[in-house]
Amino acid sequence: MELALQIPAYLVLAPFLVGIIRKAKAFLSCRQGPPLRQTYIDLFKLFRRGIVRSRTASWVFDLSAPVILGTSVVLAGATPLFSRAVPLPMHFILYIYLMSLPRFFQTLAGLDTGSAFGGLGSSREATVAAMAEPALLLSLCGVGFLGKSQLLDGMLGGIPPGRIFLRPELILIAGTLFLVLLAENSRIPVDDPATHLELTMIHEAMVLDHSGIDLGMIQLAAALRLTVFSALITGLLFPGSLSLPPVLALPAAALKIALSGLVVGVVESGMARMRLSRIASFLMTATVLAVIALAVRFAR
Amino acid sequence: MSCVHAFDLSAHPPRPEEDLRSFLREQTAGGDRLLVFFAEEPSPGRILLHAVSGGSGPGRCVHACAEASPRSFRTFTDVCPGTHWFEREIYDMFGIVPEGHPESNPLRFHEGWPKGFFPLRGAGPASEQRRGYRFLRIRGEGIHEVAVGPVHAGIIEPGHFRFSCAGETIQNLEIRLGYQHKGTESLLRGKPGMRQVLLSESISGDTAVGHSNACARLLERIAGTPAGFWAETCRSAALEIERIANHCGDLGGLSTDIGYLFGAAHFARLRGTALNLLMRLSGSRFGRGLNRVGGIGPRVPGIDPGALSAELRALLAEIEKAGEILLDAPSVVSRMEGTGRLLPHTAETLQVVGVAGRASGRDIDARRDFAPPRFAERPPKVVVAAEGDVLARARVRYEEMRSSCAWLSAALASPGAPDETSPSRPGPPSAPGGRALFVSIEEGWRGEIVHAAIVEAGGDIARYKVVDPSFRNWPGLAFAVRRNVISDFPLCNKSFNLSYSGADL
Repeated sequence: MELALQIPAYLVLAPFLVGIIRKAKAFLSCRQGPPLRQTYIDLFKLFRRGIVRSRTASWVFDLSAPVILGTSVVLAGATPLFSRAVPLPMHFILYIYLMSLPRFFQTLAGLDTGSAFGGLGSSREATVAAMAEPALLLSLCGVGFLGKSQLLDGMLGGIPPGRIFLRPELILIAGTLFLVLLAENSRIPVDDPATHLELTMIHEAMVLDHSGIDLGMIQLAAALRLTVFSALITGLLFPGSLSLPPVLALPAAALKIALSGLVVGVVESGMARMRLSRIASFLMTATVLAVIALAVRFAR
Repeated sequence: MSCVHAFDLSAHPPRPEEDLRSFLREQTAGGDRLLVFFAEEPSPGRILLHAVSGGSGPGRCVHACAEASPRSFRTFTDVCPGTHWFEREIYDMFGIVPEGHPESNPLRFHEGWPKGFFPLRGAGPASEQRRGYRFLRIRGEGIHEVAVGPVHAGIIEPGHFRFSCAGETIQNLEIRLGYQHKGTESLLRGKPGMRQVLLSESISGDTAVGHSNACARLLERIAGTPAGFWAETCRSAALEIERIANHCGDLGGLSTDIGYLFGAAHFARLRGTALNLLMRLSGSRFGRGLNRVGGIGPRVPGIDPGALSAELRALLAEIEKAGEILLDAPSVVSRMEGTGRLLPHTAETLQVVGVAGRASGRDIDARRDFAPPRFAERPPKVVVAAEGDVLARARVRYEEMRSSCAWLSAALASPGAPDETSPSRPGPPSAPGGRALFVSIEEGWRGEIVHAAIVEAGGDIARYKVVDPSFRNWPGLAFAVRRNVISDFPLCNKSFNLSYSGADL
């Protein structure tokens, strides 16, 4: 029963998370912001619309949106949200590379339309992704050592409950994953999801040529991806939340997701976007954090 | 009054072209800046070139006029690079070819305009057919072009930018304007009067006060009816509030472009507060309808100077609070520092004016160099920075708001009596002897605004020339973004914040 609920729960929580981030940002700049249901309404609207596509686009472009959403749903099935068991148990290396698959298609679709902006966005996205990968790989290795498993659900579920403040490696890994979350989900300070300036965009530049239901799928996939990352990090920080009784499990999951939305919103409100050339050192920091976490783990 | 100058053209007959060349060379060497360079056709087939420069001393303003052939003249860019865009403009408006000019593309007209169309040329077709637009091609491995505009992803004016990039790095930016040409200079000709003042408010919508101040003072000088002390107080107050409002808007815009929410939210709000002050002063949030020839409009509500001072103090306190946070935030400083650097030497050569010029070490400000009445008694503090990057331009804006507030508070202590506000109709020109050139200079929020008018013996304006600071600064932007990454372009662009309408006229 719980297993069947996991993917629908992700699909419902993903727009909620985006809404929470928007609300937090609006609140911190003394605005009211759009209501939480706005993200759902926008997605619903996009899913009912037709597609306008570039004449130069090929089948890769047409295939990209379904592949991106499909992979994200698979990832959602592999990441524990409210229970230790998941519908799709997955080796963590496979998990990391399934995370790259949507990006691969997104990048190709950006190049496929032949627009200069799509090309710029694709090349930037590929650069950021290449630099974020070691940090993600190392931090999931760290989780694997802690949870004594190579399966994603196993490693998260295997973390012995207890006070996390006594385990610095856990905090370091969560920190690394948060930096990776910002980079992988095109948040400030790496990218600005709200910008209208085509020349500065990373993720949005690749999406410029998508419309209608394709755009809806890509936006839902992006929200899912953010939720998956949030579930991963909050699962690490609150291992107890994965073994709650079923009545409490779902509200607890929503609470976790809302909390991470608040944190992302606060971080985004507090700083300006970095210049492109600094992203390398930002992600280098993330990698170094992961290495320190592993060192701490083995020093014990 | 050193903000308006009159030159008697009948007393000084035009000199040969070579004299103008040596004039421009001497002026450039002597530390003067070119204020305006334009052509006129006093009688069919006869072309005169006028150059006005000054600024090296208080109120210094000199004029030279040369006779040119109706077909072509030798370019002056070799002795005075500041004439670069002026000469392109002369070709577009008159069809006179500047021989040896480094750039042959049209400036005022996009490709949709008919060939051989020269709007200010009274008679006869153009000497040469107009060429199409040709972009500079940069070749080499990995060089790619990015085309942006003229329709942008926001509600802004149209302009086309063509970047030649090696990877992310901009090798060359070509700015192509001309999508907003609306015949301003032709419309401004004719009998001097209120029509010109109202038209001047629309030259660039965000500089309504700056342009209409310059225009009104010019027409007052022609008519010989200077505005009263109170009217000049209102004009200066409106000018400074317009400056504060736009600088707030720019700091907010810079924050938006780097994704810094705090600055974006608060400076957008403060811009609104400043615009509301302008509303209470002039009856329009953008200062429209303030000016008349000889004074300020009859329906201008005006504002109690004491109340205005108090509101300004409150506004300044908020600006300082938000500005300190914005310009001290490490993420903001690291983003802006060193980005879009316009070297002082380049700014000097291109004769960049206003905020962008002062941020690149140019110590120029028309409020001091060509002081209007209220500024003559108490010159404002001129803010200069040497770095020339986006951060310097942001800091200059912030400091200028503070200096504006300080100046305005002091000026409002002695505002004059409001009963002097009776706009008079322009009388006959003060120099009925013959043709005369009038030049009016005003420091708008973006930079130096120059209006020049040639008045016939009969009192009609035969040629009206407007120079918006944007016209002087667009080439500066193209240089500032070189060797920067293309993702920094919007930030550099916003830090100049130039008007398309003001450049296209």
